[in-house]
Amino acid sequence: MEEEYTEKLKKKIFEETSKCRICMSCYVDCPLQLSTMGFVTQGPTGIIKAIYYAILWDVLQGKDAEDLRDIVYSCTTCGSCVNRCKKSACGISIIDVVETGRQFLLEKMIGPLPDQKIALESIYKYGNPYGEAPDRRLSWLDDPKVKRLPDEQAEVLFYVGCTASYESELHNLARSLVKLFTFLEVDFGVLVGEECCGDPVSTLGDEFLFQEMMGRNLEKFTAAGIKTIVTTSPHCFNTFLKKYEDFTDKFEVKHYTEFLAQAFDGKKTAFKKELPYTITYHDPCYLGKHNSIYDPPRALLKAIPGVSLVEMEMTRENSLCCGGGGGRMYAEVEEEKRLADTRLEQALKVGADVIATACPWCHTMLLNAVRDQQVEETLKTRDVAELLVEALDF
Amino acid sequence: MNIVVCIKQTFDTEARITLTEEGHIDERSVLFIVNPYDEYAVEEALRLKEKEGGEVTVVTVGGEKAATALRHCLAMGADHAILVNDPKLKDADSHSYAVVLSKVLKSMDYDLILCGRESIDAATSQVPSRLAELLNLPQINVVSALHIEDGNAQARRDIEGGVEVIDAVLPAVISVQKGINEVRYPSMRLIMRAKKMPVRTLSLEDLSLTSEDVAPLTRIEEYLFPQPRQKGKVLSGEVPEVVSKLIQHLRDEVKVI
Repeated sequence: MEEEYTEKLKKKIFEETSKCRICMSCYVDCPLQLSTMGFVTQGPTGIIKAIYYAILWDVLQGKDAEDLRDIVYSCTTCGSCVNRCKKSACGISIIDVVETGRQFLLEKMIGPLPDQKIALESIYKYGNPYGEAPDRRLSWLDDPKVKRLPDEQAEVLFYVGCTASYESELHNLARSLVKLFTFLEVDFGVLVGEECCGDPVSTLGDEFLFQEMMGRNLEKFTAAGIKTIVTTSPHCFNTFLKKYEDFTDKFEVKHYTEFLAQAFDGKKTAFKKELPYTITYHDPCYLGKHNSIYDPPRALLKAIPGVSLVEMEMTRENSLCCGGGGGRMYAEVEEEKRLADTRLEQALKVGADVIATACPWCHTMLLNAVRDQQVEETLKTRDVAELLVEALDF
Repeated sequence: MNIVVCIKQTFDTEARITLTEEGHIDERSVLFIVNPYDEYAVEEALRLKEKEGGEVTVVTVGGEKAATALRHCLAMGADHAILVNDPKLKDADSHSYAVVLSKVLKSMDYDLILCGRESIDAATSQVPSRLAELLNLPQINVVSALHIEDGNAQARRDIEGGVEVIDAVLPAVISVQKGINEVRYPSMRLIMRAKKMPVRTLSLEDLSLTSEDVAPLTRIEEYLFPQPRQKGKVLSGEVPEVVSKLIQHLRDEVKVI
């Protein structure tokens, strides 16, 4: 059984990696090349070849194993390389190889990074990566009229996600979404006993724990009798849509930007308050690069009167990752220059006074960078939902 | 090299502790884990095994649910697990644990005994020392780096302003400190696999011990929550104003000047 499992992982890694012709096209798009010294192992080909040769030559002990771990867990899984390889080379599923590589490293107990271990254990024990008590998950919710599933029934589940539930600076985002759904008279509710979707677990390589989380969530969603799930985070959205088995047969899943763009279509006069902001929108990787949702958030921002929407140098398909994906939210990764810092510079360069995004992790990464660079006065980090609520003025 | 690691199952530090009406810790509301310091000991044992060969056995004293803690260690890579479970050990203290563990160890073939420096629940740090005395073995406690060569142990201890290096001849009892290593992560697959691995369960009778042998020397009178800390006082205003307010406060209210 054990051999069978590792053989399965090896086969997957070998098959996919051996397609790589080392054309290095992907290095142009890889964010690590911007945030590091730019060594060959700090880019897509180098990362997957490192796994490949480490397994092939059995270099999996001591310091070598640690180095390999650091290489494989440095990837933000942003998806730039996959899109580039599809366009210009042989279409290798690079992120699948990275995630399978991580499964292999977990099997050999080489991975994950120490801080990520705490996140994984916490998800297993408490259903969130932050070591927070499950019964405090809805502590942000100040509106008693919001339906609590499964005791109450609703058509739409507002899947808040772990970060917006526990990170106090993101509570306003969660509350903003409640206000927007209420304004739109959506028949929605939150789930009592909501747990992590499993995105960090899957991306860090614990396949079986992911299966467990998927089972737990599916059971709860089914019991709640919902039809549609609207997520705060693009990561939860992507996980439900692409990683859960037969999910779309049973439920419809939407990221909130897509859901709101549809719901507000034809109701744009609702945004009465003029917001005199120059906004630049930062595309979250799991919304943009992974799921090609570029226009709905922009349409929402454009619907706000007074807003001037400007685009950064790297935008849409070429957007720069904030550095928080791929499990990097939970670990300090060595960088010459943080990606979020580069992103801020790009935002300031186009004269934005608000950097808007639609992902709790991007939000957190950008917020921290704004603080570290002490540009709070000139550049505000806001979520699309928060700006919409401000413009609704109700 | 054969290594025995003594572990304890404790409640999770992240858990919010509540007391039952009888004043005991409410075990229904907390999660149980391997005592974190003992996890370092297991990790150190596994690293030594990977380098030197041999087997790692984990031993614990506890109720039926303590088997979960042992299985966690098996998932990490330990070879054998022994659980001493007996209702007569209900009120066991560190003395009782040391007596039981020493008896288990006397029947085993080992080169090294590793423990955590203390358990995070009782935090007495008594078991490693008591165990070493009962087995008449050398002991080194609160070790932050360990080197084993040719049947000798060299251990480093962090002391105030420096490091203490202690040599000992094996077998010895060594208790380890946080920071000695990074503990590995056993994935869900490995945890599930370990559920099928055997855990040897022993009673006091199996160890030829009586209730008197393991009678505790200490008794817990009462569990109390720590007093909540008083809220800090913030003085605001211009610097000279704040300074005079602070002096006044220290003189009139705190009465330290």
